[in-house]
Amino acid sequence: MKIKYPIEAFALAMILFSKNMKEALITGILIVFLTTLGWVVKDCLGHIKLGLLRISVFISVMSVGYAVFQIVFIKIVPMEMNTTIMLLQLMIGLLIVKHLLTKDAEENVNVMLYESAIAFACFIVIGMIREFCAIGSIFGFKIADLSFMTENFQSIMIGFLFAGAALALVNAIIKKRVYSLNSLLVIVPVVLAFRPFELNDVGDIINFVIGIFIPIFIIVSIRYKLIFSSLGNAFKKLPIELISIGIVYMILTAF
Amino acid sequence: MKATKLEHMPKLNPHIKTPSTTSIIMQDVAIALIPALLGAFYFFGIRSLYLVAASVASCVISEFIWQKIVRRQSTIGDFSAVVTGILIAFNLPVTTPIWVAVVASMFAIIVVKQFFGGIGSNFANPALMGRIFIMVMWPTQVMQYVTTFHSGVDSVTSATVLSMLKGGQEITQFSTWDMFIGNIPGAIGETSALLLLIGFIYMCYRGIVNAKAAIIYIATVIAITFVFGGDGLFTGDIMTNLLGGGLILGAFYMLTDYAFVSARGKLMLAVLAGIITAGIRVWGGYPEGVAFGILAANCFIGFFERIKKTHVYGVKDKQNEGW
Amino acid sequence: MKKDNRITGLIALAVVTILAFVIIFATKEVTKDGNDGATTTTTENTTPAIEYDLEDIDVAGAEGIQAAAKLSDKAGEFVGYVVTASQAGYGGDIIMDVYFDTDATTITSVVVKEHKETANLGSKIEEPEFLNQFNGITAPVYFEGMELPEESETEDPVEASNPTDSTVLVDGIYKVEADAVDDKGYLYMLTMVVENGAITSVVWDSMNQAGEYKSYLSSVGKYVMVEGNPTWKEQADALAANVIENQSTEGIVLNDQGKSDSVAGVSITVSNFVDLVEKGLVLASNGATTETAGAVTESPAATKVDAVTYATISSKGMINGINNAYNFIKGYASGK
Repeated sequence: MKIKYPIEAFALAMILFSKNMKEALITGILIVFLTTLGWVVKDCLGHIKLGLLRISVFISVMSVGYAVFQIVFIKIVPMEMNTTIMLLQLMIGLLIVKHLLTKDAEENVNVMLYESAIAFACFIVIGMIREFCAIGSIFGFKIADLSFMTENFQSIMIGFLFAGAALALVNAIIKKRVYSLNSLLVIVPVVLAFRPFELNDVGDIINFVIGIFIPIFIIVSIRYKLIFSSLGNAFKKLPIELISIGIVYMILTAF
Repeated sequence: MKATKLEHMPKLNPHIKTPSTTSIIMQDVAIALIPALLGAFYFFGIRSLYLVAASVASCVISEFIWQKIVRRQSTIGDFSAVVTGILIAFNLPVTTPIWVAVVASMFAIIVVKQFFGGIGSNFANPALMGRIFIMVMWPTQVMQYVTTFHSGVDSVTSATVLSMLKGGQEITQFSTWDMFIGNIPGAIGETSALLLLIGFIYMCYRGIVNAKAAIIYIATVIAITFVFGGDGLFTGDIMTNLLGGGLILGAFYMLTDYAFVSARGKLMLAVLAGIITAGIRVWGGYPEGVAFGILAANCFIGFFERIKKTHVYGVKDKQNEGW
Repeated sequence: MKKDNRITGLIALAVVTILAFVIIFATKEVTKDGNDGATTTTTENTTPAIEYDLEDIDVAGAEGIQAAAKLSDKAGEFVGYVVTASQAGYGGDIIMDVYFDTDATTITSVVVKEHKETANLGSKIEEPEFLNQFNGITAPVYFEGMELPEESETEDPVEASNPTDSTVLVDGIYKVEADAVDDKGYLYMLTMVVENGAITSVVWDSMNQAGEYKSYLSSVGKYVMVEGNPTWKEQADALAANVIENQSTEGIVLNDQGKSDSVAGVSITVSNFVDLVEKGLVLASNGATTETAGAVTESPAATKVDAVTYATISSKGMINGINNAYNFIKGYASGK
């Protein structure tokens, strides 16, 4: 069975916004909201021409998405916001649109909501875990201060690891697996925003190109290797590739 | 529980398997590590054994529990978790807190190995990744090297030989002989080239190791550090680079492990790893680059598997010797 | 039925929207009172808020100084200086802006512009926790266990007279070192501060060949005494307190092993501590005389700051950069 929840959008969100429970909670519910909204738009306009339908969904989800993210992240519950974050949030919106417009997008909203709810729950859980391991608090309330706590738990590479693990968990619960090779859509934007390393003496453009090229190169190489791996179904494709990139990030900190 | 052959046999390009099963190979590796283990106890005291015990226990227990959760055949009988545990501990200084070693082991087994499907399915060496993980997350816990023969009362922190080299200091306290037998500050398993060599010879005798790749890796690192490592060209310190860090441990026990690639591919990987290791030692931010070098090469295993032509049964292929 | 499906969808949308609002506003309420330990807000260094006019100062030939300027506010009034210094840290050079007051001695603030220090370790030099301690203090600066800036370095102790109880001590900072490394590879050193004729601070430390100090090593658990006893640093502090209380080394009686029972909790060998204090007192009492060719050991009171924990080299880089900037600007201010 194909996956019916917007897995790529959740993936990107989990990598970036599971640093603490608050971000996870809010980003998660916004994704569910936007996905449902997009679904309703798509359903109401179902009879019009396909191209027009696609544009409508795109515009509605993207515009509302941009608006709610801006409003919530800046005005209502102030959270970390800058141009990079905003672009990444737009990317999340795009991934939601992509999911809604794929051929086998779910006709029945119940399945989609059920799976999204599971993903949302796992999102919250990893937010809690990361926040606790990093600063000893949950939802902002300080609970403990143990020796293993380090802010490094809120770094991007740990984000990759947790996102991969969370999605594997979701897939295991709903007993489905990823079939398409979509991880680069999630990985490349993050790598561009949060470079694992930078070459100091070359120009910005070259750094940018390298930033795109290296993760693609490495993921392709790892994919070749993983063909021969006996992965569990829940881990296949996107989850394990996220974990791989997390591991690669750690290796690349040497440079 | 006896692990069935099919379950844990890595699924690879079909080629002729040697009669050894994984567990025999791994047991041999563990045996080969015993001399260095005794050396660790001799040089660094009983605490080094505690670390090894904690690592091995964590690895085995993690693997067992994980395989219970996902309902797969338990593979702890193949000894690979034991070897991983020993190697993780060998990469740590003796002052490392026990919980750090435990966390490294859990990460290595569960995330790096089992998430990917178990032995043969992972792309990164678990022991090295465990080390990198704790180095990245808790850098201060794993940087406190001490000199040998400290008896707990007056342990003296010391920089490792390689970091002295990187800092441009002259190394007067340790002779080359010291570095060869292991009487230098460092991680508990990496200091004694002599004892590791003994184990390596045993593994060669048992035919379970790719000596060529190890030699090429070492040669590449030495060549590059010799040419570029010193103050001018061709003035690098060969002996220190060879014996002073984790090069011997990495080359003999971790490079030739888990890489199910063709023979030629392995040699190319060895060169690549050597270039990166030497690069970090000479130009990078860390004084030691073995872990990063080998792992960086691990990332590209996929390409090397692809480059080599797949072996066709019934046709003699000169390149496809061994694994 | 398609129609049913749509209705389900619309209901779902309504429910999810309401749920979203609830969550968002609940979160806002719960985290309202700045309980934002969870958010990673980008912290700003305390940069001067006023816009300045800069008048460049020539830095040609000054080592480690990239730029310097006189600052005047918009009204044209001279308000101070800024010096951009570059100093080697752990991972590379650290570039910092040091803002001085008009006296070219008081630091108003320090900003880190560029660094290559280790993330979460040396990089903490750019956090307000570290940098704010420089606001408003007098240069030069040092942290415990570190060598003082050159300004107050003294020549070899004068052999002339031994201090007696009635000798007047001259204000200043006196630094003495043991003549040679001891058999464990440690070089002992002592810094004594005299204010208003009395000893107010004594810092005793020793450094091994790797550049690590016993005070640092012992406080992070790497130089270990007998389990359960105070750390080396604590014992050194106890000795220092004893000297300050007695204003001499009278309170410390040595036995023939170089150890002493006089100070509670101290079991380390103290003979070199006593030696160094004696030498320091000689310096302090001779500070006023210029009979010997030794330079007058007066110096402006250096301010002690805290280094970033575990990041000694990065902190040292910062301190050296700041002191370098101070030396430069003082030279400029007094020379023009």
